[in-house]
Amino acid sequence: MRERNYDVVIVGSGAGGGTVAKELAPLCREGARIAVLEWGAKLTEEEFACPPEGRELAMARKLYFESGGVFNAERTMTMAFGRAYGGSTVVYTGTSLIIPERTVARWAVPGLVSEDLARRSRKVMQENNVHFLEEEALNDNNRLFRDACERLGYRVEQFPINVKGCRGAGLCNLGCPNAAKQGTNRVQLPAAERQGVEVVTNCKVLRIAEGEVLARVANPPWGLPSAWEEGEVRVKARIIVVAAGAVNSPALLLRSHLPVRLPALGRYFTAHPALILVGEHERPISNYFGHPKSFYCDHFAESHGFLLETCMYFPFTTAKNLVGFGPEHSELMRRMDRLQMILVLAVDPALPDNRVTIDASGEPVVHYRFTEGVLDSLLESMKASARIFFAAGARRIHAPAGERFFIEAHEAPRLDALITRRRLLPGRISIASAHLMGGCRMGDDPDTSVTDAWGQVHGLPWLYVADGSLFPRCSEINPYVTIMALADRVAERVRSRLVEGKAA
Amino acid sequence: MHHLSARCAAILDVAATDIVPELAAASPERWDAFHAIVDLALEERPRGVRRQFAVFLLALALLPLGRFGAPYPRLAAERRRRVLQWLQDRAPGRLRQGFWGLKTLVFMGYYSQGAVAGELAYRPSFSGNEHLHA
Repeated sequence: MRERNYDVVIVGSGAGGGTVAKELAPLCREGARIAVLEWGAKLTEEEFACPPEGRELAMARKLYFESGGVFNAERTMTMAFGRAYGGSTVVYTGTSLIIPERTVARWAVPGLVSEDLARRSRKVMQENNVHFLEEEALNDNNRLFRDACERLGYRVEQFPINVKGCRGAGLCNLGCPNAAKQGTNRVQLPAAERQGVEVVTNCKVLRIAEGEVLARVANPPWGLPSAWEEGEVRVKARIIVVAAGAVNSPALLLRSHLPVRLPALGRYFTAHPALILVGEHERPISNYFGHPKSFYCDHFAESHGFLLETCMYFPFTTAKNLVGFGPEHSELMRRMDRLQMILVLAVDPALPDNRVTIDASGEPVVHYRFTEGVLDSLLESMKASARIFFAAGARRIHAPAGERFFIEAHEAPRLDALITRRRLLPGRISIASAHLMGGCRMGDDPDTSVTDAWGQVHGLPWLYVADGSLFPRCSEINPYVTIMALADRVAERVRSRLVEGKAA
Repeated sequence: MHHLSARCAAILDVAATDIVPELAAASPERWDAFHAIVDLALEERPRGVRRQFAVFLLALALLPLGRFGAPYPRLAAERRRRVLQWLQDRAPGRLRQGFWGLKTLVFMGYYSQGAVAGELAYRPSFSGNEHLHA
C-alpha cells in the first residue's frame, strides 16, 4: 500500500475543515505538511454552469450524498448534506448569523463563551464578504414575507449573506453557477492551497488511528480527477482533525474503534427538522429570480420552538414537499411562478437516543425520532405560515397537515380546524433536514460528551473534531458561521500543539 | 428498466399516471426519460431499498383485491385514486412510507426533466436579477 506523510490531516473540506485548513496554512511556510482529504469531487466551472433546465437532478447527484435524500433509519426524514470540494458550503444559501448568547448559555460548555464565538464569527463573516442585499435586489417572494410579518406584528429580520457579485440565479442549493457564493471552495480552500496545503479530492477516509489515516481514492464520473492515484493509501499524521459533518464524523470515529471509552459518541444528534410550505398568489410574483433567502422570522423560536425563513426551491423538491397527488397537485405545480415559499425549522432537543450508529460495513445509520414537542412545533408553524401567506395576499395555501389539499383565503379564520395534528403523520408529510448537528458534542464529562471545548477528543491528544457534530444542542439558527467559529478555535489549539511539539 | 421486473415496472407506470396525470398523455420520449431517471435513482440506492420498493409495488397491486375484487392496475381510475389516498392518509407506517417513496420517485422522474420546466412556469436564469423588475 502506498504511504504519505503529513503533520496534520484534515478530514473534510466544508465549513469546519476549510476553516482549519486556512488557519493552519501559514505553518506551511515553516515546513509543516498539511493535507485535506475530501470525499467529494472538485467540479469545474463548466460543470457549475450546467443549464437551469434539468439542473436539479444533475447537480444534486454531484454535490450531495445520495442526491440530498439520505433517510433516517425510521424513514420519516430525509437529510441533505454536501459532498464536494467545499462540502456543504457549496450548497447552502450563504445566510450568515452569529449564534445568540442565549443559545450558547443553553449549550453550557465549560470554557466556551458567547463573546469568543461572536468575535470569531465576525472574523469569518468579514472573510466571506457577508453583507445585506440592497432593497432592489430583493424579489417578491422575500418582500411579501417581510411585509406580511410586519403587518402581523411578527419579528422579522434580514439575513446577512456571503456573496460577491451575486447575479440572482436563485440556484444556491445546487451550487452557484456564477461563483458568487463565498463558500470554503471560493475563499478558505484556495487561500490554504496558495500557502501550501494539499487538498486531495475523491478521497474517502476509511479509518483513523493514532499516527495514521487509511483512505481510498476513487474518481467519480464528474469533476477533476484526484491529485492522488486511485486506490488505498496509508497517510501518516501527527494530528488528525475530523470535519466530515455530523453524520460522517461520528461514523468515522465509531468504525475506527478508538482506544478510549466514549459513550456519548454518535448521540445527541439534532437536525432542525424542516418543512417547505407554499402559498399561491393570483398573479405571477418574482420568486425564482434573485437570491432565495433574505428574511427570517424568529418570533416563535422561544414560545413555540420554530423559525421561519424565506426560500424558493426547484420543481422536484417542491413537488415532493406537497402532500397529495393527482390533479390538484399538478395544478399547483403548473404555477411555480405564483408560489410564495416558507421554510420551517423546528428547534429540536438533543436526546441520547437520536444518534448516529454504523452498520455492518461501517456506514452511518441515523436514528432519529420526532418528539411530540417537535410535532407540535411543526403544526403551529404551518398555521403561522398560513397567516403570513394570507397576509401577503395569497389566494390559497397548501399545508401538509391540512384537512384538504388547498385552504382558500376566505377560510383563514378557521385554520385551527383545517390544519390538524391527526394529519401530521411522519411518513405522510415530507420532513427534511439540512442542518445536521451533534454526535461528537463538546463538554467536560467524557460520559456525556466526546470532545472538550476546543474540539479535542477526550483522552486522545492527537485527535480533534471541527464541524457541526461538536454542537451539544442545536444552534437555533443557520449553523455554518458557528461551525467556522468553532473550527477557528480548533485550529488555534492545533497550532499551539504543533508549536509545543516542535519546541519539545 | 434494469432495476425493476416487467411486472413491477407496469405497476409503477399505472401509479405514475395517477400521481402525475400529465404522464397519461406524455410522449414516448418523456416516458423514456421518466424511466431512465427512476432507474438511475434505484441504482444509487442500496440493494435492500430496491428490494423493498419492488415488494411495495407488488403489495400495492394486491392490496385492493379484498375490497374491490381486482388488482390495482385493473381498477377504474377513481378506485385507484381511493387506494392511493388510503395509502397516504390511513395506511400503517411502513405502507405509508412506501407510498411516500413511490410518490417521491414518480415526482423525481417527471419534475426533474428539463423539458417539463417551461410547462410549470419555471424559467430560471443565471442572471435572475435582470428579470426582477421586468
